[in-house]
Amino acid sequence: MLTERRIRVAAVVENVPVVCEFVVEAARDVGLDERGIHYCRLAVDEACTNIVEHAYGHEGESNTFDVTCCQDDDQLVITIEDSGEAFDPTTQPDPKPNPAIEDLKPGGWGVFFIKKMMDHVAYHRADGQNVLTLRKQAPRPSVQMPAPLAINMNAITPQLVTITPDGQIDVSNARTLETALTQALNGGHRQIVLNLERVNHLSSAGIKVIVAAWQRSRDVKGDVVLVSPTPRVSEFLNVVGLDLVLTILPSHDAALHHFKVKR
Amino acid sequence: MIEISTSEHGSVAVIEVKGRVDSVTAPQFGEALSTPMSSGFRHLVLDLQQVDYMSSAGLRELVNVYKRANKNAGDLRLVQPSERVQEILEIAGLDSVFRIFPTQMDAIGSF
Repeated sequence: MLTERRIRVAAVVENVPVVCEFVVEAARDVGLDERGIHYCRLAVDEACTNIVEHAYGHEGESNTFDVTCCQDDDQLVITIEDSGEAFDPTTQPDPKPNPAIEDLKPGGWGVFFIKKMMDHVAYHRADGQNVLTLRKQAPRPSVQMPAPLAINMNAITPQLVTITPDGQIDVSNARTLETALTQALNGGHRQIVLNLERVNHLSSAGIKVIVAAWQRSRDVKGDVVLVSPTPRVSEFLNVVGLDLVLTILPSHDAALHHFKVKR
Repeated sequence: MIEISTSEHGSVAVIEVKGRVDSVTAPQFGEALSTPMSSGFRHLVLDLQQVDYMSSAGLRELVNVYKRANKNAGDLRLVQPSERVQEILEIAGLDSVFRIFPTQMDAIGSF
């Protein structure tokens, strides 16, 4: 939890990067990701540059402005206060996108960036001060437990291995399957029988892993064949068109026959 | 602080910038862009590969120089803006205003 921090600087342009660094550090402490931190830097840069260049009308050196950072839940709250001329950025019109050259005006983006980069922008005037409040949300951690997935590997010949995953394969655990496939390929098993009879759900993350392994196996003149997909998985394989690319066989024996293994 | 280097390729001036373009460095950035024009170059290539940050102060200089070049039947063309700068150009609605090239050679050859 970020405790409230405040910085007061003279309203000169050289201090804008100083304030930006101050905010970047607070943004890190609140747990914003790199993109969010960059957005905070840019928004604060624009807001403070406006204060320095406009609020005090070039008499900034004798004036100051304050920037406060605090945390509200998982948001960084940045408050910028100056005692210059009243200016409400929230009421400024947005610049026209992709203008013709004759309509192209060099400016007007600063306030627009603030509005675009922040999740919430509020302005009020109090006691002769401009008070601009910016809020940026930290990414909410996705607490996703990997779905249970057991994988059984059985080397039939030095080239051929049968891999039997048991469970559902989705983005949370596709790595487990990937590891098994990679191990098999690295171990010289270029013929892979992927038995899907116990897989009740296969997502695109799983497909990706299978296709990558299939491509690797093809590079060494091997193959990855799928065996006994459940109706649901079978349907998905058809929908994504994988049935046209990979060999899908009804039984393990058919797979062994495919690889010409004698039992 | 920013580092700027300028080179000449026939009638094209190539300006390479490295660092952050913000309200502190924008004047230096703007000067680097306008100096070749003042010495007669109408065709400018600005390599933005190593600019990892640009605020509206930098955009203002870009647009000023772009307009000035076009007024003289020239152009300012950009090379490989970083992801962050590309995003800024898009948000500002300037991505279709500037011609953007993947390499300096492509940009130089486009004139």
